[in-house]
Amino acid sequence: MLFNSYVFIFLFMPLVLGGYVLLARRFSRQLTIHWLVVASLFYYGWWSWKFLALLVVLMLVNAAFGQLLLSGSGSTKLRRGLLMAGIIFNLTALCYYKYAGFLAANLNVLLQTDIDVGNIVLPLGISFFTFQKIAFLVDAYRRDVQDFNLPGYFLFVSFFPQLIAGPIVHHKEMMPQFARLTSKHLNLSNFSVGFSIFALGLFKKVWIADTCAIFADKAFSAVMQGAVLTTGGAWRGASAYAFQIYFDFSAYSEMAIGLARMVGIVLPLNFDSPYKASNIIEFWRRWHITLMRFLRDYLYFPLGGNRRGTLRRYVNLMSVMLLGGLWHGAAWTFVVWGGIHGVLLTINHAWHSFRRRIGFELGRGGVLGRHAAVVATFLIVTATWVPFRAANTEVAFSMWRSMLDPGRSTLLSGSMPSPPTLTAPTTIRLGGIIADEVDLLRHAIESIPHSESVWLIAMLAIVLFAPSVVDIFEPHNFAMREKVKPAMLPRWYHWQPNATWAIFVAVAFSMSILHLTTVSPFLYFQF
Amino acid sequence: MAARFLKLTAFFVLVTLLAVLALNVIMDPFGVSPVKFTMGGINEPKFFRSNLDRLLKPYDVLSQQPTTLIFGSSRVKQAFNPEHLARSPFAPAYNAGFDWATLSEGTQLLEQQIHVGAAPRYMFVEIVVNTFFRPGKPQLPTTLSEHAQNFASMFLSMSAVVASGATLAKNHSSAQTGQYLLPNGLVANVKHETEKDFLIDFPMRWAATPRDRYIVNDRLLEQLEAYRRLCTENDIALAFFIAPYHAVYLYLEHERGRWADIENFKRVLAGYGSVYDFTGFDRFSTEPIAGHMQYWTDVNHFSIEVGDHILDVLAGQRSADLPPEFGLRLTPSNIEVHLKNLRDARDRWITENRAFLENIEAARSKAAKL
Repeated sequence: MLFNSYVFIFLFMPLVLGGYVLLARRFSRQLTIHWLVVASLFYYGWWSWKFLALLVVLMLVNAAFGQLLLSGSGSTKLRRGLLMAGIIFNLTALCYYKYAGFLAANLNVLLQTDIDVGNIVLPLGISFFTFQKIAFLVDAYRRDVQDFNLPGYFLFVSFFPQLIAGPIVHHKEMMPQFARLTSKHLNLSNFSVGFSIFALGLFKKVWIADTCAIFADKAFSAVMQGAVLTTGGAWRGASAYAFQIYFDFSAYSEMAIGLARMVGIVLPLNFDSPYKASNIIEFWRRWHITLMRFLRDYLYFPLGGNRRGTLRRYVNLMSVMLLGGLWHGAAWTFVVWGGIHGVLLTINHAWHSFRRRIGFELGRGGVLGRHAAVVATFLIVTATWVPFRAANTEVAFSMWRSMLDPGRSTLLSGSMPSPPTLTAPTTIRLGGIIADEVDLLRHAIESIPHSESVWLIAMLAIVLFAPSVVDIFEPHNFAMREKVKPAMLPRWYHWQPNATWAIFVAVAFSMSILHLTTVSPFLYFQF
Repeated sequence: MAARFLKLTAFFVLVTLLAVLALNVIMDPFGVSPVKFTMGGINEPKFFRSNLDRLLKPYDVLSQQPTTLIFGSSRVKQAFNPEHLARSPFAPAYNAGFDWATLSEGTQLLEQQIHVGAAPRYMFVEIVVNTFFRPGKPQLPTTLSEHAQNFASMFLSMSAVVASGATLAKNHSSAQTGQYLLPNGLVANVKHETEKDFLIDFPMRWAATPRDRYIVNDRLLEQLEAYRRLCTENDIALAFFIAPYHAVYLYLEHERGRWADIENFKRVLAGYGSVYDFTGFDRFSTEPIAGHMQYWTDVNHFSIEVGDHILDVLAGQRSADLPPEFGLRLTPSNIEVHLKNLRDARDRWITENRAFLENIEAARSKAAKL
């Protein structure tokens, strides 16, 4: 069940919120937690009842490990053993479902074997909830967990707004909030803020991210089919994907934050205008913040972080980014992507160290220098998205070659498929649903001359200069955040519960509803 | 403050959605609105009723509830003009043909009408040999969820808004448009591409066509039986018909070694009692290939003039000048004579058109090598 589907918006969401209001007002807090657990499990089971059973088993086993770690008895050695067993248990499940096929394919190539692991279906959100459970076990080992109870733990892992694609939350962030789940926190103010964030996120997804996808898919599909793009075409395709993933992921994160807020829960910030970053280090402080927090706290720091010398620090950085890449998907393209970012982060840190050593204070460049750095960072990040999106490394290298070599443009200029004219599509999808066939809007967009360039320039202006949803909702405690300085915006930029914002939110929501006939999943659901 | 904000938001959402609904119901770009506002030059003709026939036609049938339902493939869709049956006991008729229709889709359509208590009195069903042998997978909307999604697509979507706007714009401009469906299900503005299609496109398509045999099996016969059962139970007069093919098409079937399969198929059909065969080597099917042909719009599709003759025969109004075996009702007693006559006519035509067929064979060989 996708957030951007009729069934979620018109059936699941009203039922869950209605039930929640009823229980919170009339009955106990415990019952409201049970209700949210049931709703979350139903939400997951809607996709696959078989994998719901897996999720429940994983949660029960982890809760048992957590209980043992928290019980206080046993030597440090025993507790350490328990922690390792818990982590290995979780990683085994993750490796089986996510990496078995990849491992077998690579072993077959390397050792000329014929290992067949069959067609293993990846359970939705397994990468996210596995990390969340590992973080819980480590916190329990460090005795950094309070208020442990089974229903609360179940809700912490399966809370439907963040179950499938994050934000990755800490137990200690959620449990105090679950403890306050009473009618006091269930108020119209939270609901208004939450619904407005959700509506703007929905608009971002269905109107902006999915439109970017039209152009990105066209370019990458053309290369996949053997076409050689012009330099301009390759850059347009890569930047279309850069915008697609930006708006898709920020939309998902905002919808998750908005949904949680409707029931009075504040989730951690996951996304903070990353394309406004002026270097790669800053980019990673703004992109997928909760994943980076996990990798920092549970991988980079235990590896020694930056306390064991410069070389070790860079090795740790590379390891973290390679694993981060692999976390996104079991393919070499993700390893390449992670590796490149590891190298970029290493260079960036080395550069900062060098500048400090020769007496330059960081962050003291002029406005022009800052803007140039933002644009340069954006271009580098855009180029690195290529392997992330490409179906295989050949496609990625072909895109890169086209991006870097203008001479290639003479080989097959105009190799991108030409846009169709404004007519109803000729193919009929079986099953009786006309939604896809009547996607005339897409054909209209494609048929407008230079629509791609105009669209991409508009997107660039938005990501670089427009205030983010985080900024707009800043006075209303948009999300939990760490050490990020809020943008200074005039008061009228900020969301307020007035008629102007009601019209704005209503139009965004209605326009999104009207565009839901062509549903597309969130990109981060595949991880 | 928050309560007022939420009320205002809900109000504006409702206003926006109602405005879009009103626009799309009035413009009705797909022509399926239960409320009709016909405004020539504004929302008529409906150019977006195109290529969506499989999905729009069930709604047309639901709203029009015709006396006669004509079901079949694109050959029916392009050539059977329901207006031809006006002022007859068969009126109003509706052309429910669509591209690559399967027999089971026809039964589904019929079941839909029976379910809403609006069963037609007459049903004419085309039997297309190669369609008949395709797996009969129901493809029409049946569940509430499917109908709801279709409704949303046609009246509450931005694509419908685009279609409404484009309908208005096209009706105000002199822009050329392609083919589109008339309210009675017949397709308008069909392009005639006879010479190119016969000599270039068709040989290429034919080369890419699977070489499957046409073997009659129980599953296929069950589909015919389903029609018979539904029509008997609901007092519907049912007629099957095999529409005409151009002689070139029949020749290629012969060359591919499927003539005997087709004969066996017809022998089985002869036992059903109400099957009319319009195939043959007569003045329609042997029309010489030219840039513009009287009886054919391309190699697969015959013209409305031929469709009118077929409707006349099915409606019991056969004109005297028609070829003797055109629309012959197949029975166990006449089937063998009929098949022999067809074989003889085929051989004669091949002999008489040897030079022409060599050109077709050359085109076919060239296409096969591509």
